[in-house]
Amino acid sequence: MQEVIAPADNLEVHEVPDGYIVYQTARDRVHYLNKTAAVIFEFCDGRRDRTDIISRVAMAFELPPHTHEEVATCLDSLMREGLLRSISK
Amino acid sequence: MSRLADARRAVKVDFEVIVRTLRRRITLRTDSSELYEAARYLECDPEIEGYASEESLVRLEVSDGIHRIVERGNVLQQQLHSRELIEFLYANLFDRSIRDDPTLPIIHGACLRRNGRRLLLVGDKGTGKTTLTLRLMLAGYEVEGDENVFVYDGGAVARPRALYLKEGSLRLLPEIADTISRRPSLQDYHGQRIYNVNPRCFGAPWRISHGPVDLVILLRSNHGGYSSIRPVSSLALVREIVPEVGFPADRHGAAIGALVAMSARTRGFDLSLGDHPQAIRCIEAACSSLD
Repeated sequence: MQEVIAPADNLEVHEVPDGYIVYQTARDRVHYLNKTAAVIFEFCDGRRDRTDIISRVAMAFELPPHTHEEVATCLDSLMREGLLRSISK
Repeated sequence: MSRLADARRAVKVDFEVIVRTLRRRITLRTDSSELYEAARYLECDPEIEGYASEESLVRLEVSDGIHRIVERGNVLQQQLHSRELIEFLYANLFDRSIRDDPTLPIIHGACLRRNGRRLLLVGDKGTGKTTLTLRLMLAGYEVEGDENVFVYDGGAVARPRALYLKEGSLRLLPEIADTISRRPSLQDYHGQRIYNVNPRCFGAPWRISHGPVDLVILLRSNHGGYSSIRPVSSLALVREIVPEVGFPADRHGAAIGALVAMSARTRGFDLSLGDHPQAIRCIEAACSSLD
């Protein structure tokens, strides 16, 4: 069993030059994702697990290993805000 | 008793004040000179392009010391004092404006044009939008409105409404203070007079049209200090505008989409608003950056 991460339902995602503006219909909230958060959000496409996402983001931004924790923190924050959800596959 | 008063008693004279929403041209008619003077505070009749206007009539009446608003034979409101009636109408006109198209978000901001380009000044109450708008008018900008702007996908249009300038702001506009102080006014609960002004009072045209927004300037007050300006990103622009937006019920998602679409086609700046001459130079520089 693999836990993959996907975007939550009922999100309206608008792309702007420097990130994403996401309207969460269920909570009637607007979220502003900067470029880094938008890239992390994009990698969460329902095909990858947490470890894979972190390593792909790190590779995309050429991040040194000690900064992986920051990507994980951002991922957790997106989960906590309800923009992402975990799915068992 | 003067002859004029006798004559007026013999022949009822109707006074009229015109007020507008985008789609309605409303005549406020009254035979009371007191209500006429009070209703002039709401005067608003700009030239509006691109909207068919529906004419309607609202009567303002006074009898037995009670002031009433009557529309199509129905009493909309009655009050002891004319001022309360005018305050009701002021709010009622806003509601009517919203009802013209209840699906559109509305930004708290001023709308101006310069050389065919449209710019919005967005800022909370007290940031100095109205005085800056009048300053820009004196510098050659065309003023459409200073309070509300409706946003639709790709563009915006000002809500027709006079500019309201507080008595305390007259000192910031000494060269036109005399003209303003002769305009219709109302006293607020703190005893401060608020004046109804529009570009025509100063010989400028007052024309409202819809179209794309080229520049959005976020205002931050720096009263007494210098003015400075800096560009802001699209993400920051939307984030700063959202708190100044009235969202239509049940259409928040579409409204956010309209704001994003508008922001995608515009350039955003953050203006720290201190001295006016420098603020105008900053805005001129921002406008020039579009060329």
